[in-house]
Parts: sequence; structure tokens; C-alpha cells
Amino acid sequence: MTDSPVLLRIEELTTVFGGLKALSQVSLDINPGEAVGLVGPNGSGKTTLVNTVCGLYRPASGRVILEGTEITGHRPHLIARAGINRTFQIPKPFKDLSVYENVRVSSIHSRNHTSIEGALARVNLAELANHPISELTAAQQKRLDLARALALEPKVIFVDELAAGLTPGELHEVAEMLKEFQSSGIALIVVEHLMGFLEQVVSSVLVLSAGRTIFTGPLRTALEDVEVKRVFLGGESDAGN
Amino acid sequence: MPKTAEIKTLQNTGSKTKTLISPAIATLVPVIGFALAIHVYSNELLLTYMAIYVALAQGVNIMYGFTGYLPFGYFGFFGVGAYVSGLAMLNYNLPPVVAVIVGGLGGALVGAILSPLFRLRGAYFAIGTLAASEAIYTIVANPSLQSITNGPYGLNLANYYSSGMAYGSAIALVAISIIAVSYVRGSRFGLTLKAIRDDPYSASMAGVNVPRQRFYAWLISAAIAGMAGSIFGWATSVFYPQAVFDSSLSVLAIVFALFGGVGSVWGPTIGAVLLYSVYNAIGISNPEYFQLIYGLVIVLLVLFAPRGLLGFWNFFAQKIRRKRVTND
Repeated sequence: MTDSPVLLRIEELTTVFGGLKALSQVSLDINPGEAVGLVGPNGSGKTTLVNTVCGLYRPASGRVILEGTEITGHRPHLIARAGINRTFQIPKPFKDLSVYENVRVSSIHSRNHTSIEGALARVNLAELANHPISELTAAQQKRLDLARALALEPKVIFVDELAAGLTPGELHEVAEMLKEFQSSGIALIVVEHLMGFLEQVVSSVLVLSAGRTIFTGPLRTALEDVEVKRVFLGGESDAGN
Repeated sequence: MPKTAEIKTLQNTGSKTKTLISPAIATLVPVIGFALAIHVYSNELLLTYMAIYVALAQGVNIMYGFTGYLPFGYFGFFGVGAYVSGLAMLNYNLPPVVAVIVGGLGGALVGAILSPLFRLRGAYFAIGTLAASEAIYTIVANPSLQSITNGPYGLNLANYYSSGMAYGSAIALVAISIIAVSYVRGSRFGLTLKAIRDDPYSASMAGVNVPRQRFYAWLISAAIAGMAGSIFGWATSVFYPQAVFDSSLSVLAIVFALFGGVGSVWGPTIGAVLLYSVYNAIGISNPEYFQLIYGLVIVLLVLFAPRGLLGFWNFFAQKIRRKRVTND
């Protein structure tokens, strides 16, 4: 971990539910325009990390620092307005609002009243602006989550399993979309199971298992790491041999 | 016709209809209706109560229709309004119309005090508000507070009785409540409330200060109930605590709102006028039949029209429009 100023610093974050330590001293630094993959098997603490950073859960210890300002335990709307946003594994659109109105909710709470059309265009949903949510596919609803996040002028977005269920063509389109976000300076933390997709988007990964960090570094190296292989593929670790 | 074009056409038709049935019409029709009704039906007190129920149903609409929180203890604000305005008249000789406004502020103040109940959700919130309102009733009706609230003996406002003024105030409250709902429905505030109703956490990630927005809706709703209670007390003239802290007031207001359709401007008005008329036609002479009809109405609503009469209407209207677009 470097001492230079970073965009988002997650410092030894621990989250406890009753007697269960769902997240144990997880740390991560991310710079503007950087993309980091967040991987791990089910129950490893990926979503808990996202929820804790985004203010849904209060951490037992540790700190979250955005551009030098500590925001640990702040309320979700303040964290979102400060510049950290997210999408959801199961998309959560406002079902009684149109696509346009969904993004408008974010836009009216942004500092500069961002362009709703602009946010929709960036996720290729501009043509569906007047559609009701019931007309959208699951993949389109996930992109709507992204558009809502974009309308709040985020600095960091946690992208939660955006690629699940997409065709190869759609995967490529989404990867290009995320690269465009990066090029505009938005940092991405991509929660994903699909390694092929991650390879297109991220340069490094943070691997979690049972709430603990078991690897941080380049994705290629992670795929060769014995502990990572053991966690994903099962079997005995030879780390101690 | 491609699907996209079809939906755009439907949306445009919908917005035209919305423009036609404007908030002004939604306000003026019931107001003029009540103003004329007195010339057709002479029971002014009954019409006053009907207007009060329209306002109460609209108050429930703001709370439940736009935030999804069902306030079973809504009668608490009603009772507080009746007592605050009654005591303001008796102790400070305030003109009744001013006392009604003070009663509304009393309801809102109690709403603010009870706002920590928002930590609860769903049925727990509904039961929590019910318990809180029962607690307020117990305090107000306590004989040891007779020097302040007159305890179980209620208030006598006979010196301030003016049926015409009370009726006029009830009509004004109908207008206020419908204007409030129209504002909420068409404003950014309303958009935010609808987002909260769909998913509070998702709304907060869209930058919405969920507790604050919900609190404002709660205050508006409580103030309407407070003013409704004030007018009820004034029009009734002599009332006891159990009459204004009556849980059936909440049940009726909720059923009226649901029957008409929450989240709309017209729904609660239609629901309150129709069902309160049925209540007076059958409920007073044959209360057992009314309970049966009420029970059936609630079951049918839940099963076939969870969005109320207006939802039913919109469903068929949309089907007809879709058919027309397809034929074109």
C-alpha cells in the first residue's frame, strides 16, 4: 500500500454481524480511472464490502477515505453525493417510474443537475427513455443502475456482477462502456465471477475468501496463485509445503 | 408498428390525459360538488363528515400512496388535532378557523415526535403507530389530567358551534388536501417519495435523503389529519376522547384510500365519497350488513384490484388504447 494520495482508500475494514466476522481487515487503494476486480466465491464478503463502503452497513473497525476525507459510517445518500456509487447484483430500478424518471431522481440530487439524456446515452439506453421498467430486460435494468450512478457524477463505482447472463456480444459492449467510464476518470471496482470479462476491464484484483483478503495484485498472477486456485477450485493448498 | 414506437405513442396519449385531468379539476370538482350537495341533501353534519373523510383519505394517500408506510395509528393525529384546537378555543378563545390551523400544527408536532417510528418497516410500523396513538389516547383520557384535557369527560365546544362555518372549513380542507396531493404527485418531492416507496436503499444511492423526505411527507399527512380532527370536534360540538381517538377512523380512511386507489389524486376522493355514502345508507341502520360488505370489498380489492378503482380503470383504459394503437 502506498502513502501517496489516492482517490479511495479502504483501510482495514471489518464488518461483524452478530458473532460472524463477514469482513476482516480488508484494505484497498484505488486511483482515478483505475479498475480493480473484486473476486471471491459466494459468501466471501464481496457484497458486504460494497455495502459497508456505501454506508448500508456500519463497520466494526477500519476507515473509508475519499479524496483525503474520512466518510466511514456516513449515511448512504451522503456517500453517494460525495462520489461513491454502485450497481446491484439484482438490479433495483424504481419500478413505478419510467427509465427517464429513474435517472432524474439521481440528477436532481447531483451538484450540477447532470444531463439525464447524457447519462442514458453513456449506457446505451437513450432510446428507451420513455419506457416503463417492465419493458426492460435484466441486462438493461443493470445498465439503468449504472445510468443512475452516472447522473450523480461519481468518482468511484462499484459494479456488481454486471456481466452475468450476457451474450458474448453484450459482454464486449459492456466492457467498452466501462472502459469509457475509466477514460473519463471514474474508478471502477468490478465485482465479477467471469474472468474473461474481468481480463477486458481490470488490471488488478482483490481476492476475498471468508471475509479475508487472500490476494491483491495483477489478475494474471491471481490466476496462478495457489491459494486463489484452492479457494476457487477446491482441494488442498500447498502454500504451507 | 415497432414496439418502441407503440410505447411512445401510449406514453404521449397518457400525458395528454394527465394534462386534461389537471390538478385544478381534481380540486374543483369535489369542492363544487360539496358546495352544491347541501342544496340537494340537507344533512350538513353528514356532508361535513364525508368531506373530513375525503381529507383523511388524501392524508393516508400522501403517506401510504407515496412512501409505502401504512399508518394504522393515523387516528392519533386526528384526536390530537381535535383536542389541540378545542382547548385553543376554550382556553385562549381563538376563532375556530384559527384553532383548526393550530390543530393541524398540533398534529404535525406529534408527527414529528413520533418520527422515530420510521426505524420500523412494514407491519411493525403500522402496529407501532397504532400503539403510539393508543398511548396518546390513554394520556388524554386519563382522569388525573382532567384539569388540562378534561380527562374522560371530553370537550364541549357548544359556544363555538357554527355548522355552516364548519362545513365551509371542511370543504376548504378537502381543497387543501387535494392540492397537497397534486403537488406531491407532480413535484420532484413526489418523484423522490415514489423512489423511496420502491426501494429506500436504492433511493439513497441516488442521493436521496430518505429519512428527511419521508419525514416531510409524514408531517404533511399528520397536519391534514390534525385539521380534520379539529373540524370534526368543532362540527360535533361535544366529543369524548374515544370518539376522536377511534382506531376505526384509521381503518375507514385507509379503506377509502385503497378502494379509490392510492398514489393518484382522484382515487381517495372517489373512494371516500362512494364508501362513506354506502356506510350511511346501510351502516347505521344495519351495521352487520355493512361489516359484511366492507369485508367483501377488502377481500375483492386485495385479490383483484390492489391499485383500487382507479387502477382498475387505468388497466382497462390502457388495454383499449393499446388495441387502438395496434389497429392503427
